[in-house]
Formats: sequence, structure tokens, C-alpha cells
Amino acid sequence: MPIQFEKVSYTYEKKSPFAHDALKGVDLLLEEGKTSAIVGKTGSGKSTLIQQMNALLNPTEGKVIIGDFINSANKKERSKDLFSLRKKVGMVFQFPEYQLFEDTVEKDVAFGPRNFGMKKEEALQAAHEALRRVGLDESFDKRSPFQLSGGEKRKVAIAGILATKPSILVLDEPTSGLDPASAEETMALFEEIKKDGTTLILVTHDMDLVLKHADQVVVMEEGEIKKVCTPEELFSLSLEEYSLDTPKVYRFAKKAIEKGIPLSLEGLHDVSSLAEALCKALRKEKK
Amino acid sequence: MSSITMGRYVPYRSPIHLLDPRTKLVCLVLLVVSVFLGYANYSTTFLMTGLSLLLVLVLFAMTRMSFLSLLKSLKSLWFMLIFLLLIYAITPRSDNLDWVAFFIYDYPIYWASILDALKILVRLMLMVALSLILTASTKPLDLTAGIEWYLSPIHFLGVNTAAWAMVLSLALRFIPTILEDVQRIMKAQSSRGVDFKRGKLTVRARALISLVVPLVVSSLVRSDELGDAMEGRGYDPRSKRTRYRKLTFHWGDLIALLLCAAFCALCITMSVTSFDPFLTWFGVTVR
Repeated sequence: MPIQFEKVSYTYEKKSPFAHDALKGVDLLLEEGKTSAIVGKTGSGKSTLIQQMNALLNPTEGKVIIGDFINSANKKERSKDLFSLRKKVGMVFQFPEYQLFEDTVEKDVAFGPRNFGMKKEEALQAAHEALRRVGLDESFDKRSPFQLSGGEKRKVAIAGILATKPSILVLDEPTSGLDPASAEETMALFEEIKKDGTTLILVTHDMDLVLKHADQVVVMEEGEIKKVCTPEELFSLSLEEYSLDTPKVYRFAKKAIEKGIPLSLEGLHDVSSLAEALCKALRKEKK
Repeated sequence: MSSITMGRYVPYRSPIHLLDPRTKLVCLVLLVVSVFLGYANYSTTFLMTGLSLLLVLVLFAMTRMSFLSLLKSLKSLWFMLIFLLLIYAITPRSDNLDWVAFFIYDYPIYWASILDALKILVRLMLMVALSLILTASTKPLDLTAGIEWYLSPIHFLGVNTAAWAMVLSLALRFIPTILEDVQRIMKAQSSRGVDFKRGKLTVRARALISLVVPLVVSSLVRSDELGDAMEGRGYDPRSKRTRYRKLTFHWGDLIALLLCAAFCALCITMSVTSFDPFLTWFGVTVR
């Protein structure tokens, strides 16, 4: 399902001394089956933006069209059944392990499917599938989620969202607080899920992730969209304007180019593609 | 959530805000005492309650709080009213038993019962309103500083008042943090298909568990971390701490104290002497 924002504004605590405009007239299209990264400083409105996508927040102005659903400021225009929208749009919040509460892992993962109307056996089946998918074997099913390690808890929480089989998956800093190996594993899992046609929306401060995984980057600043482009396009610009970091791979490549190595920035996504490009460039130089 | 945020500190610079928290605490006690005094008859009670209500309204306006939002947050008190009515209907006071409002079959319901129930309700409302004025106009930390000041005599009895004040100020400090946690977990669970607003009682109870368990877990983790952080920065409950905020007593405080004391004295005098203004001034006998 594509997501279309039309002149969406959102004000927190309207008509109070705490009133704060988090979104100011956002127009945006997030395409189906792609990975869109949303980047920007803390307080730029990223979290507010994603919460419009499954109607946790209703816009104070404008509307969001998610497939057949409309989340609008106008109550008459708003879809009646925004509850089923939440089944379609899975949301992995920052530190999702804090949402675990059941006494066994499988029950916790089955909680979402149960809420969306699945029978107990079906829900458990979906839970087992999701758990295998995130790489937790049968031995975890009956354990208490509170006895697991941080990385395993995170996997259980993610499984709890995958179990409802959403067609859009919104990820808010999915790798924060994980060790590098688990972080890589987690992102590999999301890449895998994307292959099934799931639309991914990735909110992050980690530009390495953006470069490696995103098809499209949305740069936000103070509640407005500053730029929508591909990661390559964004990182070849000077990023100081948006106060974003340059990905490590790009920083290395740019230094290398400065030193006279004929490296092309095109097609650089991660360390291995950098290594390849570097080999190629050096080989060319030898000749 | 609006009923919880009702008494939240709002940073205006009203005359009430500028008062010393110690003054405000004494004034609160004086006014609450005034509100809860009994008078010679219903008419006098009505008159004095009206006067207190007027006073509270003026204070509300001075603190720039909206009286409408207070009424809204009191909406839930209807249950209390029915309960009080029931109690007073079953156990009518011995005086005024000739004044029957109506009969339910053969059981008499006295006007006295209805008026007493209403009286209690209005008094409770006024008390809540007064304490809301205090919390809305005083920073929680200033409030604890004020309470600590009043507790300081106990210090000589060997009670560690500073530690108790720290406990109190930490508890107050963490109310907004925990509310934030509530919001966060509610959003995460809503995304997993929990509906906190609708559904059968059993479903709602489950929804509540999915909120409370993670909340308790994260609060425990947080308090553990806080303890470590405080110790790490050299907090010792037994040593004497210096103070960043100094409480100062101004002319305004004296005036506020005198006004409140005068009002309280008026109420106490009228109550103790069973003064009936209608009989004394107009020569009219009323109930």
C-alpha cells in the first residue's frame, strides 16, 4: 500500500500554552514496496509523521491516504474502520522490548493476531511462524520474555508485530541499543521481509543504514519536508545544511578521491561494495 | 488523560504563581478548613458556600485556569453524588425530619438528605479546585521545598527530612515521565490492535494488563538506574545539601496570608457562634 500525505499539519496540545506545531503542511508520497528512510534532527517531526500512518494520531489539518484508508482532520472524511488499518501498518517503536508483558514468548507474539480477531490456535501458529522468521527456535516458545537477553527481547517484540502480517512496516530506530552483529541481523531480516512486497519506512539517525537499505530518503526539519531524493543524491551533497552525518563508507570514499584514487561514488552501499570499488580502482591505476 | 493533566503546572506569571509556595500551602489549609465548616442553617450554608465558590472562581481567573475544564474533569463525580444521596437517604439526620421532599413507596426522602449530599459534593469540588490551583501555579520542586521547610522542625527529632523531601520530589518529578511511558506503551499496544476505549470488560481488563505490566517493569528499571546515577554523582542521604532555589517571602505573601486568614476567621466565627445573617439583619426565619 502506498502512503500519501496531503497538506498534513499536526499541533500538539492545541489551544494551550504548550501548543507546538510538529508538522507544518506536509505533502509526501511513500511508494509501495520500497524502503523510505525518514531522517532529521530530534524534534523535526519524524515520530509525529509516522504516527499518522496508522492513525495513532489524527492530523489537525489535511489528510493521509493509506491504501483504501483515509486518516483525515475532517471527521466525516475519515475512514470509519481505522482499527483494521493498524493490522495493515505494523509499527516497531524505539525499544519495542518494553511492550512485552505476557508470561511466555509465544503468547506475547500471538497477542497482536488475537487482537485482530484470529482464533487462539491460528494466532499461535502465526506466532510460531513469526518467531522462526526472526530466528528464534522452538526452545524460546515457552520461555518468559523477561528472562531473555536484550537482543532476543527485541526479536520477540519484532515478531509480535510481524505476526499480524502487515503490508507496511514502520521502523523507528530499529537497531538502537543493539550490538553490531544483532543490528545487522535485524536489518537483514527486514530486507528479507521487504522481498515479500512489504513497504518499509525507516526512521533513523544512522546514515549508514540509510545508505545501505533505503530507496528513498525524506529529510525533515522543523515539521517540514526539506528534501526527497535517493540516498546517493543526498550524500553527494554537502550535508551540513541539514545537520546530518555523512555515512562512513562515503567519508572513506571521499577521502580516497581526495588522495587521487579514481573511485566512483555510484553504487556504494556498504563496506563490501566499497571494497569492491576500491579494488577495481586500484587495479585500474596499476595498469 | 485530560483529568490527570488538569492540575499540571502551567508557566504563567500570575500573582498566584509569584507567591511563595509556603504561603500557598498555608492558604490552602486555611481555605479548605473554611470550606468544610458547618453553619447554623441551610440558607447560611448556601450563602457561605456561594461566597467560597466566588472566591475559588476569582482565584481560578487569577491563575488563568479555565473553569470549564474543571467542570469537565468533575463529570465523573456523578457516581459519587448518587452514592452520597443513597447514604443520606438511608441514614437521614435527626433534625429537619418534618421536611419531606417525596416518598418512594412509603419511604420518605427528606430534603435534608438531598441538601446534605449536595453540600458534601460542592465542598469536595471546592477542595479539589483549591488544590488544583496550588499545583497548577507552583513548580513541583518549589512545592517540595515548601513542604520540606514545614517539616524542618522534625529534623531535630532525628528524622531525615531532606531524604523524605528527596523521595517526595522524585515522586513528583517522575509523574510526567511515567505519564509519557503510559502514552508510549499505549501507542505500542494500540499498534498491536489493543483498543483501550471500547470492548467488553474482559477485553478491557486484558488491555489494561498489557499496559500495566510493561509500565511496572520500565518503572523498576528506571528507578534502579536513577539510584545508580544519583550514587554515581555522590548523593549521600545523610549529608547536608545546599539549595539552588531560595524561597523568599514578599509583601504579596503577607497580604495573601492575611486575606485567607481573614476569610477563615470569618467562617469560623460564623460557624462557632451559629450566626444567622437572615435572622439578625433582616429578621427573617429561614431553614
